[in-house]
Amino acid sequence: MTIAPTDRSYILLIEDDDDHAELTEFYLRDHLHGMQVTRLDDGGVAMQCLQAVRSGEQPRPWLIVLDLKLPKYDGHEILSYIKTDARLSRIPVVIFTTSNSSRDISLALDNHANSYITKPMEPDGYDAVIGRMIGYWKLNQHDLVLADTRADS
Amino acid sequence: MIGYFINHVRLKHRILLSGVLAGGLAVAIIAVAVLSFNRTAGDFFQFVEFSRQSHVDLLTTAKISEIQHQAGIYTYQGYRAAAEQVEVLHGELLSQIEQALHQNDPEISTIARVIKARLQNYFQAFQQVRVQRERREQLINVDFRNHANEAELLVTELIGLPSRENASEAELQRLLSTLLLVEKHAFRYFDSLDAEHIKIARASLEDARRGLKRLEAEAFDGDLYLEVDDKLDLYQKGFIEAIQRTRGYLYLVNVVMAADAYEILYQSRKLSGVLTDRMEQRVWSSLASIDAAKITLLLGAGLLLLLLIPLSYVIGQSITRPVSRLAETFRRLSLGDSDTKIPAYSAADELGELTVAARAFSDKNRETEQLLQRSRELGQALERSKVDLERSNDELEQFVYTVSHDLKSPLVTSMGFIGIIRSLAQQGRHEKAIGKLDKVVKSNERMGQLINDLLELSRVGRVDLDKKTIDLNKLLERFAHSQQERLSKRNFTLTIEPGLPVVQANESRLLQLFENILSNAIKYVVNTNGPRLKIGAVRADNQLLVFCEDNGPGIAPEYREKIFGLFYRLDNRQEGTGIGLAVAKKVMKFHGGDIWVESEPGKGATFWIRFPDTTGEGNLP
Repeated sequence: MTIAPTDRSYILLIEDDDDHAELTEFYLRDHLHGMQVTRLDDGGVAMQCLQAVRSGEQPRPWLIVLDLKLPKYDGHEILSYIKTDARLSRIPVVIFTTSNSSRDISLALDNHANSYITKPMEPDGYDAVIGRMIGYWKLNQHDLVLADTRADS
Repeated sequence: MIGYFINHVRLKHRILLSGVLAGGLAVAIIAVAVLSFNRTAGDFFQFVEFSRQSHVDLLTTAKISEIQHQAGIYTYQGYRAAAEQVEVLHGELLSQIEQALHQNDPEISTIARVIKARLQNYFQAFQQVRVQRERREQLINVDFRNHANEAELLVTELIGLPSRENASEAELQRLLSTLLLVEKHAFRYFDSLDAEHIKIARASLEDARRGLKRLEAEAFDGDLYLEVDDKLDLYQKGFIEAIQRTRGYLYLVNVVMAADAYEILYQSRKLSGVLTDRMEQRVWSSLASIDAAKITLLLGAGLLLLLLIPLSYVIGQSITRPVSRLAETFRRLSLGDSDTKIPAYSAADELGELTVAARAFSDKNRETEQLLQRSRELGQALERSKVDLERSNDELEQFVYTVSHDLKSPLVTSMGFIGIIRSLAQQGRHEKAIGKLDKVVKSNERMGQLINDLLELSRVGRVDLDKKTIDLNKLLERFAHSQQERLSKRNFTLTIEPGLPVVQANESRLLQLFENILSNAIKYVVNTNGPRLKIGAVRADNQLLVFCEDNGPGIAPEYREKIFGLFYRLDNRQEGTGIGLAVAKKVMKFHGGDIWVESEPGKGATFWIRFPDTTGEGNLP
């Protein structure tokens, strides 16, 4: 099996709920062996991290998985910040949230979210949803050469 | 008067009436003028007639003079033509006098009658004059001349006799010359009518007769002398008769006819004077009638004008007064003064109809305005209820959104972990799977807690609605007491300052509010040395505000609104669902008051609580 993202490539998971973060991380790692996942647990911290990415102090994430309901700054504010900044806007952002309200969906799409995925509420849902998410974004990212890791695990 | 017009005569008819009055006035003035002119013209015609008559009378006077003149010529010269002229003139005069006699004027006809009578006398006298004159002519030219010639012939015969002595012959010669002298003077008299000639002729004749008598006595042939004497007798008689006749017609001419002529002239002048007087009278009466007509015209016009002015004023006023009143009314109506009083104008004319229209308009206006006002009010009420509805809709939506998110969250967790557990179990990693079960349990517990909190929130404003007068000093003293154990366990100081207000509130909700604030403080004011919460009251804007001041880390400005949101937590690591301050907000809203936070990061936070009616400071225990 081979590799992995380029050295500095990682997934940025912005999620305030510890349990949800654990679940998401578990399945992300399940589907992307070796992929680093950095989790931030509130909006304020997430903003600081993004500013660091913008200034080059922090490496660019390959993908951002963003919850909407967050303390301090919510997901929409963070999304808007990313997509209106020239240096950050090309980072794909997947909204991953419990909300399936049309208001949230349309607001997120208006702010140029790259995907909008509702958190699953069935035992096998997480596996399927995360698998599909990674599958999709893997194909769309040319700077990554990823081996199919499923056979190895 | 005006009132009568307004109430009984239509505008149309009023205008018509004023027109008719003006026309009538004009016609009346014209009629008066025409009448006056007619009268003046009549006077003028009469004047012309009189003038013509007086001209006739002047002619009469001239004719009388002419008759006198012609009569004189005839009398002295004996021209027959003059006598005939007199007769012609007499005929003309008579016809003129006949005309004058037929005048209606009694004075004129009286004068004319006198003139006529005088004229008759005059003409009769003239006829006598003609007779006398003819006779005298006969006497002088035929009889007197024949007698004279015969006497002279006899004397001449005597002179021729041979037996005569020289003396007697001389006597006879003297007698003849005396006879010739008599004849000469007689004819001179008849020619000149000079009485001297008559004396000379008479004296000479006497002288001749005396000579003859002497001769007769001396002579032998007496018969011849007697014959001469007879002839001289006849001669003398004829001469005397001629003189008498001459004197008679001269008397007629100079006395009778002259008197008549004078009388006629006098009467004629009198007539002329009368006519002149009449003419003058006519002129003056014409002038007077013109003056009278003038005065009548002026007075009539003035009177009619005087009559018309108040009438036209009345008519004008009857039109303009209500019109201007209506105009004012409409003006005020147009300015939107719907309280404008429509003048009470009950007349049956066009203006009355207009007033009725104005009243209807005004009523409709007022009605419309009332309707508009109603609809405005309804609109405002609708807008208010719409806003209220929208707000509560928004709130509800926000609530549903938040609730669905926060309720789904533990469901997602437990389902996710069940999935993991299942796959771990399938892999045979049972211990690890059992370890994950704890996550499922906890998330389910959390779900239960959320549901309880929601129920609690939904109770605010729905159950325990009764309010009563609460002295916050007493309530909070009790509260502090009840929290004693919890506070001392965490070394947290709660201070209740005196001077808290007495409020109308639901006691259990108030306790819940303060408990939530206290729990919040206890939760966040952990790192500080000597964490504390001070509850007191200050007077601001004539109102007592309750404050709850802690000495925690404070709240950044951007979160001061958010913290009152449902399930909003500034720190996820802290226990709790984030419902406490949402409940506090709802409690205060339910009481008609409010709660908000003021804070400076690092210097603690102060929650301000405002009650709608703080009746004053409560009593300290």
